[in-house]
Formats: sequence, structure tokens, C-alpha cells
Amino acid sequence: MQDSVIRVTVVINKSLSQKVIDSLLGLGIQNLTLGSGRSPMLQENKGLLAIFKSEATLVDDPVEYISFLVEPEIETEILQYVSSVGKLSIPGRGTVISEQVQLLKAHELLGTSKISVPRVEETHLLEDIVGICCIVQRGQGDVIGRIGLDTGTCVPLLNYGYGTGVRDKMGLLRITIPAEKELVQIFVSKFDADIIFNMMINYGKLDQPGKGFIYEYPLRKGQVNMKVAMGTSQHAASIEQIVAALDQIKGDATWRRSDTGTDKASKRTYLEGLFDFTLICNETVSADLVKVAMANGAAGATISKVSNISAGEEKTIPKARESCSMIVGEPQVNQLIEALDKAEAFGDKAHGQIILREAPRAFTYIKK
Amino acid sequence: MSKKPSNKIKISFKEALGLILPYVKDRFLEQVKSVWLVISYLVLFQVLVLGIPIVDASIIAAGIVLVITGLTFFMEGLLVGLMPLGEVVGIKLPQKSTLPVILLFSLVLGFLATLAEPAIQVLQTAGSAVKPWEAPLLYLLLTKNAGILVYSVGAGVGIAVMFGMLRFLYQWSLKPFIYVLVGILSCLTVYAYFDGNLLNLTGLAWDCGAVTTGPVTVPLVLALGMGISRMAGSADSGASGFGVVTLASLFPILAVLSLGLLFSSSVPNVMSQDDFFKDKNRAQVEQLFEDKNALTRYVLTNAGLEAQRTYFGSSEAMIDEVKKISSDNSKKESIFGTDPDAITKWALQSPSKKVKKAFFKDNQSLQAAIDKFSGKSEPIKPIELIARNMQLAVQAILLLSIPMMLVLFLILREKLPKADEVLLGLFFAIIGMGIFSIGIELGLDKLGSQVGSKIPVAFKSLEMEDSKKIIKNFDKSVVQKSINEDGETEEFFLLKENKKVKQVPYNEKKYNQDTRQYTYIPVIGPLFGSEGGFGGALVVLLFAFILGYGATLAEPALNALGLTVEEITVGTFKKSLLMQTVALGVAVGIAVGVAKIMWDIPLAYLLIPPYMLLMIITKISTEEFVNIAWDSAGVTTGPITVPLVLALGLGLGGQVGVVEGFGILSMASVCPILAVSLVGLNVTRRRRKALAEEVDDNTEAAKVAGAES
Repeated sequence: MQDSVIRVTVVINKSLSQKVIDSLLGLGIQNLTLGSGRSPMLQENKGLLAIFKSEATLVDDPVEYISFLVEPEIETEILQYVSSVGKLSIPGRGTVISEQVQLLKAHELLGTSKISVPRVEETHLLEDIVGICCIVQRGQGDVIGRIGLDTGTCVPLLNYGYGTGVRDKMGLLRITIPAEKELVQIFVSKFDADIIFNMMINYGKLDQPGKGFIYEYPLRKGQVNMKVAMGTSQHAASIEQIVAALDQIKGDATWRRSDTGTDKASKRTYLEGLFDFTLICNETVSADLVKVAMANGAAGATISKVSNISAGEEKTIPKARESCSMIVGEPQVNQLIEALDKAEAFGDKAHGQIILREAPRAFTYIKK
Repeated sequence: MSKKPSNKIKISFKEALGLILPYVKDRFLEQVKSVWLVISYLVLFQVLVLGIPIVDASIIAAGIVLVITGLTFFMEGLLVGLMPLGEVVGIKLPQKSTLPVILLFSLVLGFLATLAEPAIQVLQTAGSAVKPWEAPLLYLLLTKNAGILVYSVGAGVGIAVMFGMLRFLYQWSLKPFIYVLVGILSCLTVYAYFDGNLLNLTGLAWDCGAVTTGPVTVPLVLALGMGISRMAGSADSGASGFGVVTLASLFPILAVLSLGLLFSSSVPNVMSQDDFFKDKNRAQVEQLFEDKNALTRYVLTNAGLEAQRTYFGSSEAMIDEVKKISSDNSKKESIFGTDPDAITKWALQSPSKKVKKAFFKDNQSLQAAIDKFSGKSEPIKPIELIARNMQLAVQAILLLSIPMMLVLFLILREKLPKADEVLLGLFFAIIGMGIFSIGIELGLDKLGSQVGSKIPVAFKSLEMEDSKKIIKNFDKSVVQKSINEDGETEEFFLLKENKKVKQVPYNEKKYNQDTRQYTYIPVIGPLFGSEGGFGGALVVLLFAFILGYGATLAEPALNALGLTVEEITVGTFKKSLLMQTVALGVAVGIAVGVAKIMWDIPLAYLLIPPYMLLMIITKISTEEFVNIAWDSAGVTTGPITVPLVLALGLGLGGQVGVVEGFGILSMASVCPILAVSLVGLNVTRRRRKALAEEVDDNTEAAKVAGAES
């Protein structure tokens, strides 16, 4: 496959996002994809509530996720730069990660940007991390997101989307099945991934029909927000800072490796070798393009509303966009691209962009 | 895959049922959850606290089932049909059309919204007790000039939607709009306070703002706004999509107050009933009525005996006039309407003995007429009821959705995505709204007015007309006398009722010697404290508080707003939090509004301080919460709250004798804004604190790092 590029995603508190956007556009990046989400944190119950509820309450903060494509050469520099602009080394402000993706085909305006990144003070970037994306029914997100918080691994990113699939082949009866989905994303060390992945399956009951879908995707580098709980710590350094410091000393997160694998999990058969095929296009045409994709081999799509932010005054690409993620096998990829091309997905009406990333491990209920 | 997958899955009837049943059940239960509180509360309050049985319980029960069914359909219709339609138009509009087109469309849409959801009936009900001599201007605008009132409110909403869209397109803040509009409105309200005529209008004006935005308009406008602001503007602006409802609440107030100023010079001043009907004021008074016949009708049906005498010269002159009318068919129709028995009914209700004598030959024919016309409520005409409500539902939904579709097809030249779903949704919305209005008329309205008219027994004694009984063959010898400490005697008799014997005070007037019947009307109250005491009033306020809370949770427009807020804030502002906050705000507002009526507090005292406070809070709040908070005000007063609250207001107003029952709704609007703003401030404070905390952590970490090196 062609055109291997780096996609950088920043997840940052909403009140801080504008600064990051401005600096990225200032660097000369032409197009950013922006979405709204939330990041929960644990807050210990105080007073009366503490007596009745031992579990900590979740408090949500609005966040935004910003993603853009760059050439592989400047990967580390851009991560360092974003981390320094957003002051992401301070726990609780946000996350930045990079991943290797294939830019399969896109409207001519939506390529990578050739930019030079100013040197900034270096911070430690984690390697050997993976992303886990879990798609569940709207309202179930907290259950899954909590896992990241309770285990102290990472602050999850939650956002809304809606799904298509079997639903859309049912005629009007489809309105009886809710399309609203919640997407939970967690960025964890490779060594924690197994246990978290299986906890998510267990907590979300993903081994039952209609509960959801989960997949893992490789990441390259990043700085992950690990401030999982609110409140000032009673110690000189918080546990997150100690973990981060140890990571830095050891060079990676291998030392965090704990015993993995539960009995139930070992019996699970995962779906392997799949791909996350994401089409980002104008909101006005996305429904039609997804229909085309579904007629050509995609089983379903999860669609999230995103915005496009372009550099400069000239707004050729509309702001209202949708990101349609489809999990497919390798054989379908080319067929899909051909069909989408025929449907003018990459012309001026749709301004489409297709990004492919590996999903080496996935899981959902499969009828036996 | 070798074979191309077919586009449709075949679903057997059994499978379809398996999908539909849980779907229906979930949605139905959701509505049960939203209305059970207010209904069971009303029932329990009347039965247990007031100790009065519910009249027409079976009809009311059927009505409640209809309300829930209707709400189920309507909410689903909103979510599947109306809101997606609004959003699609919103997204495509800025992309494919020019600014003048967008503004014209908004203006028309706002205007149509007012026509589609006629709030005027609600306001006319609220103003049904208005006497033209007490509030001439208000009377004029509610009756003769009601049409002008509706159109000016419509123009207000139209301008509001237009400014709302301009805001989205150019990313204007809502705050300056609030400062300017609320500033002007407060000044006008203060000015009106010193003018007898305008003073009575302020209540109507502020209530107009509250009721203009109905359950169809709000979701549609929210969705439209959401679409437009997703498409227009630069970066994400927090609460994109909100704010139109706020403007659509404020502009109509301005429109009504301006209308009042315009007409205030041409109406007579506030005067006594007697002066009002004197010849010297006749020319001015006639301006309030459409023609002479309308004035005559008003005098005959609504004025007191004294006023009737003043108007006609004497009772005899009046009787002659009525007889003349009854012989002239066209005149009869214009004054008494088409009901052939209207004159008999009128004579029956007249307090004048002379009138009764003139129209009934003897006591027997009088009694026959009493038996025929009194005590019976109008029978329900099911076909008329269904037809009327369905027609209103069709009107409300089509008047708004058809223009949207026309714009989509003709101006934007786009097709409707998921057209089948949207059409089904619109169908659901119409059906739902129809069923739901029928249910309200049969159930909630009745229940509300029963409780509302009886709630004053909490603090004063009241005759229970509903449980009137006629004792046949009354034997006067059972009447006994009692004496109190001061030596005053009182007559009473013992009545056996349900195996219990109780004392009933005897009233000579209620005994009819000819028929030997005694009309017994039970008297209840005051249940709490002494006559007119504070304890009873407190119970009424508490009642109003809980009523407001429960009714608000059931409002469909608030539900839609809650969903939209949750969607736009990606769950950081949960629907339940918004709804609870708004409901609490409405509860406080309604309690304050009831206090206004009970103690006749001028509305300006109650409205201006909270709005001033709100200006300050608005200044220090973030744009996101300003938008959400002010929009919540517009959605609180909908089809569930309004009839219940009006019934309560009118019941109380009638008992304590105030000029008009307006003002409760406007209080129910301002308090939720305060409540949501305060919650917003709290959330903002927490978020700031959380970020500040992180910086603290960092300085500590730096210290540690420094110590290590």
C-alpha cells in the first residue's frame, strides 16, 4: 500500500484547545480535523454521599481532539512541539499521540503538510503504546471509560457517534434500533493492553450480541494524560508523576508489566488482521457515501461529527464534516476505494479523505 | 464476498414484533416516568390533603393514558422527524443560499411558528377574568385586537429567529442581546408601573414571551440552529445552536409592550364598573368592543346587575331590550349566539328577580328550567373533540415542516436524506400531538382545574359546587338552633350521610318552599390555620412548588432541549442535570407567581430584581452556559405546565379577587434561567479549579525535581 504517513492526534481540555489549533495552523498545517469529546475523571465522594456510594463519582471535562497528517520525518519534532505548546507534560491537560497510517486517497487539498517545526525543549515520549477503541451503545461509555481511570492507566477520550449496519437494511423498522453510539478510546502501554482489552470486553459484556465492538490499533509515540483523579495529592509527587518519572528512568513502560490473561480471556478468539478504514468527508454527502460503501463490502460504519479547520481565509472545504469508520478485511479495501471514487467521494462535493490503519486485534459477538 | 449483498433484510412478522414491542415499551415507560409524578401528586393532594373526591375520575384516567400515549408518539416524532429535518435544512442553508434568503426564511419561520402554535388561546384563558373597566387596554388586546396581538407577537418571534441566525453566521455573543433587550424591557416595565392601563398589560407581555415557544417550535429551531452553526463560523463556539429560543422569548415581550404603548392613548382610563357603563363614557367604551352588539352582549352576560341597570337605564328597560332581541333573529344571533336556549339560560343566571319573573311564567316553569340547564356539565362530543385537536396538531406541525421542506427542495435543490424516516416522524408527531392534546383536555385540564379551584380551601372556607346535593322532601322541623358564648343563635340541622350524622348550618335561602327541596352545598376549609391565615397560604405555595417541579419534568420541549444540550456538550452537561435544575427553577418561579396572585404583588417588583441579578450573572458566565440557561426559560412553559398553572392561577385569582391571572408564567421563566446559570457558574468554577490544580501539581513537581538535582 502507498503513502505511509503519520497522523498526530491531540486530546486537550477545551479551554486550551484554541491555543494549540492556532499554533498548529501557524506552523503551516493546512487542515485540521476537530472533534468534541469528554474526558472523565474520578472524584472522591465527600460527606453524606461517601456513606452511600463507595465508588468514586465521574466528573466530565469537555475536551477536543485535533488530528492532522504530517510526513514521517518530523514525527518526533511535532509531538514535542505540541506537548510544549499545550504544556501536556503537566498531568491533566491532555494527550498527544502519533500513529502510522496509510493515506489511501484524498481530495487534492487534503494531503500532508510540508512544514518545519521549531525546536523546543524535549520531553520524554512514551513508545510501545497502543490505542484501544471501543464502540458501545450511547450511555454505556462511562462503564468502559472507567476502566482506564480505575486501573490508573490513562484518561479515556469519549465521544458520540452513530452507527449504520444491519439497521439500515431493515426498512422503516430500523427506527426501533437505536443508532446512537458512544466511542471510548484509551491509550495504554503495550504491556497493559491485553488486560485492559479484556477488562473492557468483560465490563461492556461485548461477548453478548448487540453490545458493541472493540479493536486495538498500533500507536508509535506519545504523551498520555494519566491524571485519573481530581483533588490535590497529599504527597510531594502524585502517583502519575512517579510513574512517569520511572518510565523515563527505565526508558519505556516494560517495568509496569503485570500478570496478564484471565481464564475467560484465554479462551477468547479474536478477529485478527482487520483494518480500520476511515472516510472523512462533508457531512452533507456522508450518508450517501456510507451507503455506497455498504453496498461494496463494508458491514457497517460508525460515524462521528467532526469539523474541518483550514488555514487561511479561503474556505474551500466546508466546516461540517463526518468521520465514518468502517472495520474491513484487506480484500475489501480496493473495492471500496474504487466504488467511492466512482461515487465522486474525492471531488469537490465530498472532499473525501481515506485513512487506513491496522486493527491487529478486534472483538465482538459473533453468532456461532 | 462473491455475491453482492442484497439491500434489504427480510424480517418476518414475528421478528418485527420482537423489535417493535420493546421499542414501544421503552418509550412508553419513559413518558410514564416523566408524567407520573405530577399526576399522582395532583390526585393524592386532592384526595388526601384536601379530602375532596375527584369528579369524573374515569374520564380523567382515560385522558391521562392519552397524554402518555400522545407524548410517546410526539417525542419519537420529534427525534425521528422534526429535528433531523431542521438540522438538514440548517446545514445546507448557509452553504447553498445567500444571506437575504436565510434572513427572509428565518423571519417567515418565526412568524409561522406563532401561528402554528397559537399561544393566544392560552393567554385569553389567563385573561378570561379581565374586566374591561379594570384593565381596558388589556381587555382590548385580548378580545377585539387579539388578531393584532398575535401578529405582533409573530413579528417579534420572526425578528428573533432572524437575529438568532445572524448570530450563528457571524458568531455573535448572546450577551449584548440580553443586556440591551432586558434593559429596554425593564425600563418599559418600570414606566408601565406608573400607568394604570399599562401596568395591567405587563403581566400579559412577559407571559407572552414565555408561551410563544412551543413544543414544535423549540426542537425545530434548536435543530436548525445546530445545523447552521455546524456549517458556519470558524472554530467551535461552545454552545453553538442555542440562543434563538431566548431571543424568541424576549422580542415578543417587546412587541406586546410596544403595542400597548401604541394603543394606550385610545383606550379609556381605569375606572369603576358603574362609571364604565355611564352614558358619558359610552363613546370611549365602545372603542373596546367590536360593535354595539358586542357591548350589549358583554353587559348582559358579564356585568353585574348594577352595571346592567346603569347601561340600560333600568331593569325594565333591560328586559324590554332582551325581549326585543329575542324577536329579532339576526340580532339575537349576534348577541346570544346560535344556541336556541341561550336567552332562557341567560335569564336563569341573572340575579335579578324581575328578569326571572319576566321570562318564566311561574315557579314550575322556572324549576323545570333549572332542572334542565343547571348542574349538568356539557357532554363530551368525541368526534368534535378529536377533529378539533387533530386539526390543530396537523396545523402546528405542517405549518412549520412544509416550509422547511419547500426551502430544501426548491431553494436548496437538495433531497431529503432518510426521507421515509422523516415522514414517519412527522406522522408520529402529528398523531402524538393530537392524542396528547385530547388527553390534556380530558385529563390534565380537568384535574388541574379541579385541584386549582379547590386549593384555596387550604386557607379559606369554600363551597364545593361539585358535590352539591339536593335534599328532597325537606322537613323544616328538623332545623335546630344553637347558641354561642355571645348569645348569638345559629340554625343548623343534622344530616345523615354515608352512615354518619353531621351538622349542617341551615340557610333559609337554599330552601325552596314550593318544591320542598333543600340545596345543600358542603363547605370545606380552611384546612390549615385560620381563615385567610399564613399557614394555609404556605401550603398553597408548597403545592405550587411541587406542581411546578413535576409538570416541568414532563414537558416535551424541555426533553428535546435536554437531549440537544447533552449531544452538543458530548455528555458533559447531562440531560438529567439540566432537567432537574430547570424543574427546580420553575418550581420556585411558580411558587413566587402564586404569591404574586395571593398578595397582589406588582409584577415589576418580582421580575426586575431577578433580571438585574441575571444581567450580572450573565456578565461573569461563559458563553456556553449563558446560551443554555437563557434558552431553558423558553421551554419551561409548554402544554403540560400551562394548563395546570393557569388553572391554579385562575382558581386562586378568582378567590382572592385580583384583576388578572398573568405573571405566573413569566416567573416560571426567569427562575430557571437563574437556576441553570448558577449551576453553570458552579461547573465553570470546578473546571477552572481542576486546571489550576494541575498547575499547582507542576510547581510541586518542579520543587521535587529541583531538590533531586
